[in-house]
Amino acid sequence: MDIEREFILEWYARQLLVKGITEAFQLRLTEETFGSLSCEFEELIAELLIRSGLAGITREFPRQKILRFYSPLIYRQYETIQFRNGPNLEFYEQSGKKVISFPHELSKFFAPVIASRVFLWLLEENIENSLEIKFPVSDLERVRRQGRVMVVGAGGLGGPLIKTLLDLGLRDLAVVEPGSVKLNNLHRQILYDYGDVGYLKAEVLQKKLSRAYTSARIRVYNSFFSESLLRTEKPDLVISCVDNFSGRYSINDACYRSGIPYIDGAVEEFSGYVMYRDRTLPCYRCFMGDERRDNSAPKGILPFTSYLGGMVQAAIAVDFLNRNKPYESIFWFDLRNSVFEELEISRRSECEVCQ
Amino acid sequence: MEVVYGEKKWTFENEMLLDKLLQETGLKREPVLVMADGRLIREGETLPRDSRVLIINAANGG
Repeated sequence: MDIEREFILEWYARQLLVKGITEAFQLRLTEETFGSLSCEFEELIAELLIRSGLAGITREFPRQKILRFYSPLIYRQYETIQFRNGPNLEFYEQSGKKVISFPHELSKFFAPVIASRVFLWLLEENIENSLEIKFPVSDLERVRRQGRVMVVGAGGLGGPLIKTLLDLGLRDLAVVEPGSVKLNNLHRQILYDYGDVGYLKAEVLQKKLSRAYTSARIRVYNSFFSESLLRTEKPDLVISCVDNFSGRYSINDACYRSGIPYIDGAVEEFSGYVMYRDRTLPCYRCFMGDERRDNSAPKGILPFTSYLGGMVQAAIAVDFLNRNKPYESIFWFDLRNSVFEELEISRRSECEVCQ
Repeated sequence: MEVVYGEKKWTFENEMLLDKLLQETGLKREPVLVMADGRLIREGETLPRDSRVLIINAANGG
């Protein structure tokens, strides 16, 4: 059991950095068990919770569809959690089971929101029951007007973003990713499985994505972002999913210089932002300033936070491709405190990039 | 003005310089951004007395 315990704690190392999440809580989560699920919406919520550490499934669970990545940690137990369809979001216990009722006709954006609230319920924190949330785009839609998209960073944000874009029909994608797969990536980086640990992400992605999306033209670069990649690829849109300030400054500056629109996203613990930028709008430096410096300390992150960030980036990207009518605000979300805001920034008079 | 930062909340009666607000809330050294009524407030600016202030982390994870 000690080896198993150590394995679980290493797997969830980045989640254990989040305030309020203790080793005891993380180990207790492994006892929570899902049974049968009735629709894709329930499956996505269950997947996000399983990625957060709820490790039990019953024989009825549709494991082949969503659990391939998870085999080393799966337990067979009695069902402890049930989802039900209902008009409101409700949490209660019935016959020894935890029951979560919610409307099943909601857009996919609500799956990570509901997953986060189930997680907070298990954490015994106050939860918000209202689902009146305005997202930048009302729902995900198919790509109707194709374009060439470059995604920089294929981790917690990039994973759901890339999957969503390709599922929605994008046919021309370049991915820039220099890292390799680590065990503590798996809880949130949905494109990688346990068997990929140690391999270059670029190699894993080229193989998996080309096999899964045969009609798409996909190039994966095992490198850091550089402006020369913009000249090589000539993307219509760049999407930044990197995890450091220097990378964001570099992408921002290069896109403004080249006149290429881009979408930035960043997440941390339960919160994050997504924003579209182009030369007509104040840039990333007008939002964050010029002085942000990276430090090497890893930050806490939860799978539903990065999934929501990546999915909203994808939705804004498809909206841009289909309509060429950009979302000009900054969408900020905090799943722990149920805050969803549209923020506005103005240009800084001294900004050397967008002034 | 009502000020919210995560689960923390403060109320201040008067308008306030950004720097003063960060001192009062103990967030001077934290990587945060301050929004008043949905608009980013920069160094040297004053937060209006009746504004709704949201302090957010300068998130950077990917």
